[in-house]
Amino acid sequence: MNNIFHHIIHTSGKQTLQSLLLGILCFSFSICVFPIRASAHSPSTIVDMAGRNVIVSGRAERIITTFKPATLSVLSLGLADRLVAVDSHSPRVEINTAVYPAMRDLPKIGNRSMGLNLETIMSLKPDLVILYAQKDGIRIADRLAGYHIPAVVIVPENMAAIKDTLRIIAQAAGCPERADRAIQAVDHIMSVVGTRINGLPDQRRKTVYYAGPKGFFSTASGNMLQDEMISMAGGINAAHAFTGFFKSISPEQFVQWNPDAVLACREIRSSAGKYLRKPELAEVTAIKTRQVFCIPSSNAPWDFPSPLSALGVLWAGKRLYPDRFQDVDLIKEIDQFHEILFSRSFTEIGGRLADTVNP
Amino acid sequence: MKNDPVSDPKSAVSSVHDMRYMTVILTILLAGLFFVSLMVGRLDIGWKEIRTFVCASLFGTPVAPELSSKALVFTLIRFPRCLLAVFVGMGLSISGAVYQGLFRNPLVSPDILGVSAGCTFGAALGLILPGNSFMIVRILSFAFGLTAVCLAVGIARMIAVRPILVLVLAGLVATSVFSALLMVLKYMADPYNDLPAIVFWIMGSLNRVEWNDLYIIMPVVGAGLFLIHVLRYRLNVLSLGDLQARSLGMNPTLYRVIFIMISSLMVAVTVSTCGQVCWIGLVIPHIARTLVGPNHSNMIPVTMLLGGIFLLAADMLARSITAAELPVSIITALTGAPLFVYLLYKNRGSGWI
Repeated sequence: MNNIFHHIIHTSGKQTLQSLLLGILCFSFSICVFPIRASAHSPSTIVDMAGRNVIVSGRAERIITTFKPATLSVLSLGLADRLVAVDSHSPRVEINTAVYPAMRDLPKIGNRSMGLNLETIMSLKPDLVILYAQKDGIRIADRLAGYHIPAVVIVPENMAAIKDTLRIIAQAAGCPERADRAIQAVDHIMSVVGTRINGLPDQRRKTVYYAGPKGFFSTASGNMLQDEMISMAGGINAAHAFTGFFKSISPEQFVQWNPDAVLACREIRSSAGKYLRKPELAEVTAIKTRQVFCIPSSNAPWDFPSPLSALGVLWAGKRLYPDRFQDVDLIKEIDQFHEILFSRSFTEIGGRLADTVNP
Repeated sequence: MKNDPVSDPKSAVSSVHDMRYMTVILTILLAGLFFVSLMVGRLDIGWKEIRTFVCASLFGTPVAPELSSKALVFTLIRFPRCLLAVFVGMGLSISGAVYQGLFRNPLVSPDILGVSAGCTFGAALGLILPGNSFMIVRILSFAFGLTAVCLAVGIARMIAVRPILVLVLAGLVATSVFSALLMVLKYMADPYNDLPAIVFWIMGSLNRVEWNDLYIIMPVVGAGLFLIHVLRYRLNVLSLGDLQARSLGMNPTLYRVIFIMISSLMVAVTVSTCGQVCWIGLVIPHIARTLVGPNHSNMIPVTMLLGGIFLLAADMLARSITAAELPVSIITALTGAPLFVYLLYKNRGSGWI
């Protein structure tokens, strides 16, 4: 190598030396840049939300989702056309089929509550499977990894984790830039709520009772996303002290908590109305002042983990503190958010808030 | 059969005394516990307030405005719930006692024969059918409960050897079949609308009771309890076997059908009101038998009272230990299962099984 250098310097002089240095510079620059560009299309390792190291193949073209939050996250990233199969529950979420009608015809690989069909998953030759952490999710992810199928586990159980989920899926699918767009949209909504809730004195914070999907007297514990959403919207979850999953309470406990507002899950919309008529609950502030709402929307549950949870927080803030959110045009914000995530506005896909509970 | 009144008149006399004594004690215990349970709950309601509320509802005396909310909670939530616990406890334990006497098998109960599983499947089917009428839920619950018991008994009769063991196994078959059918329903159900409703229904809990439920459960279970109480000596005859029953001038098939219908109806009504509450139907009749012997004339009233006491106490714990409700089946299983083991151990070698 030295001989060649000497030869060049002696034969071509100063000008050649300059172009050589330039060449070396370009070469070293390309060394630095090349692995970065290469990583987008060659295997790299990411850490999923269960702390597992996952080798992903660069750009994922055949994605399988195994539960509703995963499907909605993939759709939010604009990756719908890369789905080759989904869980059997996902096509029943109206927004999924409104945004991506072809989902109805995709193969179904089972679901979280009844189990997944590993054979169907394998037969579809996916290059990315997105799994849950509960039940057999992690075990299946490890088995798939053993067959060299990248499988990431996501745990979108709080707002920060919902954003991490977007990041991990985008990274695993080889298009990290897509996550930024969706995360910015979520952050925008959160800042709209944050600036209005900021400075709300503790004594003005409303106590909110969340009526869960299993029934009016089943509520979300302090560990759950719904608790965080209520607190982000400026309220206090009546069942904040509870730990674990959904918990049943007695109607007496509900009367004792005497919440200022009730946010009912959309699954119990049809039955929630009957509680407004019950004389034994009539003295409860929320019922007396008609502060009982059904959590939107007509096409997706905003109180369950997905980027749409941000809209759930915005909506809750607007309903709990209408005076503070006077300047917020709810539908406009919602439309913009959908536009960014799904390239179609909420109104365009026929979405309605559907948040009233009729007695 | 150490207390068999037919073979031992002396023991019959003493058992009648025992029985009266026992019935009085248990009735007092049930009444006392009922009163205590009216005062226990998440909301503090003392006996003075209860007196005011009772006077108010009986004689129309005014209730202070600051107590009106408590009065409503008491009359519309707590009181019906305590009442329901007593009726469900009595209904389930008596069904258990009837099945045990009827099939001459101490190991059966509505849970073991598959009646509960059948009723649950029927209720779930009713829930996902269009229309969503509560009457359909109850009718289907009863129909499938009855189907389950017929299936179990049919299988056992077909096999016709080692009847005690085979009936338990046949019950296991019926339970599995209906559990599997329930899984199919859950699998097909819409995760957003039907599934939560089914899951909610299956959870054994008394927290969703309202007077409307009691208007159905009180007459049905009440009439069932009354009929079984009146016909209880016929259970003695039936438990001697069909041949003996015929020779005593009784139509065993007719009475078998009547008893099965009544018990299954009681189970169906309770399951479609508060889901599956396990262990009561199996354990309570055994406790009663240990206390007053196997004669149904004595054992039926004692079972009834014990069932009421047991579920009332269990539900009192379920609704007051923590701010969140504990599923009442956790308490009945955790107390019932060890109790059953103890009874098995204590009565081993006495021809009990």
